[in-house]
Amino acid sequence: MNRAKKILVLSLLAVTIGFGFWKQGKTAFRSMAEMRRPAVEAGADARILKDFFVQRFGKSAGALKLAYVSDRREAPGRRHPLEFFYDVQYGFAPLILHPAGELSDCEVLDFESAGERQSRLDAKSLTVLKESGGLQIVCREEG
Amino acid sequence: MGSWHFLAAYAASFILGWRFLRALLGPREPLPAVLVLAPAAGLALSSFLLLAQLLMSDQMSLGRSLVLHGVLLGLIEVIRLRVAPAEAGAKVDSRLRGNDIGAAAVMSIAAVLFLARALKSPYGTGLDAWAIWKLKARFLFYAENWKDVFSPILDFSHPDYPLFYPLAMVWGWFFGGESAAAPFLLSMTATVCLAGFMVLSAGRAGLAAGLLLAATPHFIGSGASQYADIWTAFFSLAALVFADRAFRSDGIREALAAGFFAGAGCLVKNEGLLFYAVLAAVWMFRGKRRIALIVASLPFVIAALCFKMAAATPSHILSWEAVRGHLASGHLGARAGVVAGYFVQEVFKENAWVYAWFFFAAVFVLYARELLNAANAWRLGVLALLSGGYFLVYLFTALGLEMHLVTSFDRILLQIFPLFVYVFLSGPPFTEAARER
Repeated sequence: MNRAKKILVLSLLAVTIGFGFWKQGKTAFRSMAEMRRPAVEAGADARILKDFFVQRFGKSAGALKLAYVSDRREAPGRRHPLEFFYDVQYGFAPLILHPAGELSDCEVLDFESAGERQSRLDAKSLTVLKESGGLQIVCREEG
Repeated sequence: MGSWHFLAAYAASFILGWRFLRALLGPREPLPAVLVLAPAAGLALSSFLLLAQLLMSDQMSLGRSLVLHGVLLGLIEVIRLRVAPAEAGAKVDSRLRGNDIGAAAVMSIAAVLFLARALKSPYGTGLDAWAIWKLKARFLFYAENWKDVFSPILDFSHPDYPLFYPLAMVWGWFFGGESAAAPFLLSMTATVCLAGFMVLSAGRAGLAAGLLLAATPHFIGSGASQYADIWTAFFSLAALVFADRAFRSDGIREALAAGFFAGAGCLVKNEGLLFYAVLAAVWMFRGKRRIALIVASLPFVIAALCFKMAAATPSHILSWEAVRGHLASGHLGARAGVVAGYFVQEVFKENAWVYAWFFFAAVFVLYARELLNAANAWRLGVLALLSGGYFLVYLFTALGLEMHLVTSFDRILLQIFPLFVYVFLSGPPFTEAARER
């Protein structure tokens, strides 16, 4: 009985470890394959968004605060496009800098399909303020 | 990835941690264990020094930080010479053991798996890496008033979260400006050293324990995500291991080390405070050297409490109003069911946990009697109280329950996962098997 219990426990442990490394091996190879994708031009999409915000707020008192939320790093040449999600997080920037709401009606659209995007624009009466690659800054229409 | 000058900061922290642990644990503590613990211990001390500056003068600077590091290092050496002069010239235990080679192998595997994931996403994955930890670090690094980090405008970043991880980043950035490589290196260090420490701590089954940890996709993935949870897991595991040793030996050094690491965890996340409360409660009933545990943890606990007072922002997760509301709602049973259901759903995710939770369940069912004996029961008690604490937080959360579970449950499990690995692989049946041989 004791022997059977030990064999059961050790088998489960061995299967768990083996299966875990197999799973992780697959993930690692997928990751490496992603890294070999054609290089994305250094931060192109994110840079345009960043420039927009810097232009918009560069001379304002909130310019320094923008540094907190914008990213000063050099975007590497090899990045998966999804990584830009983190750059466009400074779609939050208007809310942080202007809690009174000057730009609170603006938002960033990123991964929606063209159809989804259009229906969202129509449904919420949004207009595209800035477009870059797959990313758009959209704001509520005035009046 | 920016300047690499931050390496100088982390080298200074490593030296501080190394000398501190040598003084605390003595020359008989094997060198590999000290080496894998030194980065975490050093960063805990560095972050503490930075936080102390903020709390006392609202400012921190590179010059003052360097002076404080130097003073602390000098104090450590003086205390070591005063308290245990015979140890100063004692030969350090640097013999190589089987588990040391196993630890090196497991750490290498963990490093390769970490790099394979992290190089694809070198800035971390998941929103919180940006929206909580790096955002806080940037505020601390650039702000004229560090208390801007508590602004209600930033409530999405949980202003009441402790600052160990952001301060560890800022400590590196002091030397060469902001660099995304600093959090990358911090996360890799925590992940790899945690795996190595597991091998060195779990006894006969240490290699299997380390392999189980490194083989678990969510462990490596969470490390690569650059969240703070891997640090919570590290400090909790180190505290539990030294508590285990202290209970077996009644040694004061082990009790002090348990207190140090449990206290350091209080500076990482609020869950570190929960772990500290659980360990302290169990210790009061079970262990000797209670004062040592309290003394070693006291500076961190005081700093954490002072930070909470400075933050002066209510927790978004826990509030009396929410607790009262849930108690009056009559829906507690249903909410408990949702939490339990989510746990079941999570442990079945083989892409995250493989079959690890089933392994723990099997060991518990088959060896319940041995695991619940007097020598081991307290360890299961820590796991049960900790899990119960998390359960109650979810039960009474002020956030939407589903949203809270979706956004945090897997990370909460990560924090306790290494503790489960340690408890279930360093006790019966593995110790029993060792004795039979």
